[in-house]
Amino acid sequence: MKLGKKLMAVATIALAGLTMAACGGGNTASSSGSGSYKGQNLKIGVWIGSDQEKQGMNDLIKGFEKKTGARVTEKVYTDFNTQIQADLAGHKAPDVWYMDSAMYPFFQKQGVLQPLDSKTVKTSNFYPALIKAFSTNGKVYGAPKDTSTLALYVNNDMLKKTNTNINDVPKTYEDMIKWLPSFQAKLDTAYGKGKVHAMAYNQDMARNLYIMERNGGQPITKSGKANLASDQVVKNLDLYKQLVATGAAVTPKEIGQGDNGTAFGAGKVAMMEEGNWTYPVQKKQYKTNFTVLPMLSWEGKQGGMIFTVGWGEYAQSKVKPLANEWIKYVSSVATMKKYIETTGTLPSRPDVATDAKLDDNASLKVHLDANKYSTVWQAGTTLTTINTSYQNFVGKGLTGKTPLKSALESADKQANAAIDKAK
Amino acid sequence: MMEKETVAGGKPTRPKKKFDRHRADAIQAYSFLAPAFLVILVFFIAAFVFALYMSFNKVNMYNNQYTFRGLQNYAEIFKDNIALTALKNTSLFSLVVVPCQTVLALIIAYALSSKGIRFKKLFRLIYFLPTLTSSAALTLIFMFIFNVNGPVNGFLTGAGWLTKPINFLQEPQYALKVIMVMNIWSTVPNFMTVYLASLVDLPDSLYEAAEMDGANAWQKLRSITIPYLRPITTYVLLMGIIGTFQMFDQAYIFSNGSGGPDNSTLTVALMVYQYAFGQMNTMGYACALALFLAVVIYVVARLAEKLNGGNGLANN
Repeated sequence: MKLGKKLMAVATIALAGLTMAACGGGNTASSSGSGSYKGQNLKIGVWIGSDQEKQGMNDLIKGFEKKTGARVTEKVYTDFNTQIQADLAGHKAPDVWYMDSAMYPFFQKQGVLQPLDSKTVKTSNFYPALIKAFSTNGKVYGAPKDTSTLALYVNNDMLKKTNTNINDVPKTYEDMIKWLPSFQAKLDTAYGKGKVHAMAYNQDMARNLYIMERNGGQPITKSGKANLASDQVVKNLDLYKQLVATGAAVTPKEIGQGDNGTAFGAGKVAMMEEGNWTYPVQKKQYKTNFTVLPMLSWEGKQGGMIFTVGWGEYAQSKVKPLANEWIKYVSSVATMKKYIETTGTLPSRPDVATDAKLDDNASLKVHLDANKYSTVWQAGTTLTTINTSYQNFVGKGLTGKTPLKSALESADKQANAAIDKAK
Repeated sequence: MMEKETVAGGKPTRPKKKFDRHRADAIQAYSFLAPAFLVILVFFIAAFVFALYMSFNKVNMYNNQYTFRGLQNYAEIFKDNIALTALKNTSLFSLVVVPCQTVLALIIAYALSSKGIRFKKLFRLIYFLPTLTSSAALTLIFMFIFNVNGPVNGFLTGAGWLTKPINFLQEPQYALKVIMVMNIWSTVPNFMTVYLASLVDLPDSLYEAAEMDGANAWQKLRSITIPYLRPITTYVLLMGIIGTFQMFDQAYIFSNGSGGPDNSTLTVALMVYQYAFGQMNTMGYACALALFLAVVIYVVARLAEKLNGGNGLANN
């Protein structure tokens, strides 16, 4: 049976070879280029968020297979952070995989990442903040694949219907908080009470971290303990409390929407702070008519978040040279340019941004410029635990049901109990 | 081989043949059981034993470090206020959901099995639909229904019963109740079907005799249907208890995995997940929690079985 199958396979290949030789004549390029990695298999671990990303990934795989002659096996994760842990525990992780900047310190600490040499990742090619996000003690453990930043999205149709000029939209949080009630009143008149909210906000450290860290705020101590109830952090988070108090800011969940992008696309909110991944979705899927503005400044300083994903290499990989080759390939100017143009993400290299003429798109330029003032989503190995606890308790503090400080004290207590258990 | 031995034993021919057939039957039976047994061995027994082992250790799955720490993981459960909150939530959830789903399932099944109801099949189909919906989609739908501007609030304020809409999703005192409603709604049809299947076998003559004695619908339900269904009720209770104590997906989606607001939707299963797959090496504690949950489920299930009067068969 097995032998039969093998024979069949050989016969098929032979036949295919004959056919190709017969048709193509001198066409050798199509059958696996340089061939030094022929017969090797590279397993990559990724997640896919949209059809565009799927297309982009298919292009990468095809290009790489053609270039090296190796085969690429793609493993698509649906719940990445859980599944990759299971794979790592079973010593069956892919040779290279996506890693979120927030998860990187954890992987690094577990010793599952291979340090990358300067030939594989030429650090000067990338935005410095992104390289820093994947470096520990002077060693680089990841190649930034792309980057996303937050910006303020405003629905033009809603502005028009409420007779509001885009220039009237405040540029600072201080002004925004004063302006929101009047804008909400106009929205209520135009659409009916409670139908459209002026602004979406999130109870999530991934969105709030840069505000929490303002003026020396330290939501997480150097030793990785939760420190959310510390004076400066509480003072900073009061901003969101004021925002909620306007009655015009809601979380997407409060109004029965999955996330900001859905709420904005469905016309339930007039403004949101969201990453550039929503840009193609709003354009193509929801066909929202919107303007992208820079993030609001607060206390005289602009801020936002940077989300970046890098390629990590498995320390136990058996095909490390091939894995290095993959990282070099996906980080090259031409490949990255094609990838970002397919997926609508922002490149991790400034030269690719110039090459792809991203500055010509006013909306994407806003996102690119945000790299300058934004904070990378990363804070040690306890961040996920602390964020879970934060999301659990911050709500009652922001709505004013309990003092913000005591809500955050509960969050600290719970997070630190969990952190202590791991000791 | 066997033949010789039995002959040597000096036994008559007949029992010998019977013995052989028994043996052949047994071998056949075991070979049929083997695939299932193998699956059970790998995915249940081995997994259980490994979890038991891990629960006595501090575990780092990445570099295979296991540090024996005795019963410390278990001791921590009882010192852990959060674990007790989770257990309280889970118990409350079970206490409300199990009786509701059992009674509702029984009543609907009784109604649908009684004569004189038209479009029975249509009703059965409609009632069964919730079970076919995936619980992830269901959670999102319920979150929409119960949001501040959602239909439920719209109805309550519209009817004048509320002056201000209730934030069901973010108020700790309502969040778990929304999940309870959702769970009851989606599990009742399943149990209803189980009851219906058994009611089909209930002889009409019992009802007819009762009618002659002048029993009304309620008396028939109480004195005939319920006692007749007792073994099924035991099954429904057990399944209900196990299902509710292991509730995870709805709480996870509802709270984005945090168990919030204010720990109000934190269930034991969700906590197990948080400790097992967080950024911490707390797999050992997660295993201890999981085994603790198993013991709790066992005890509660036995209690419910006792309260329902055994498996019912002995009493009939």
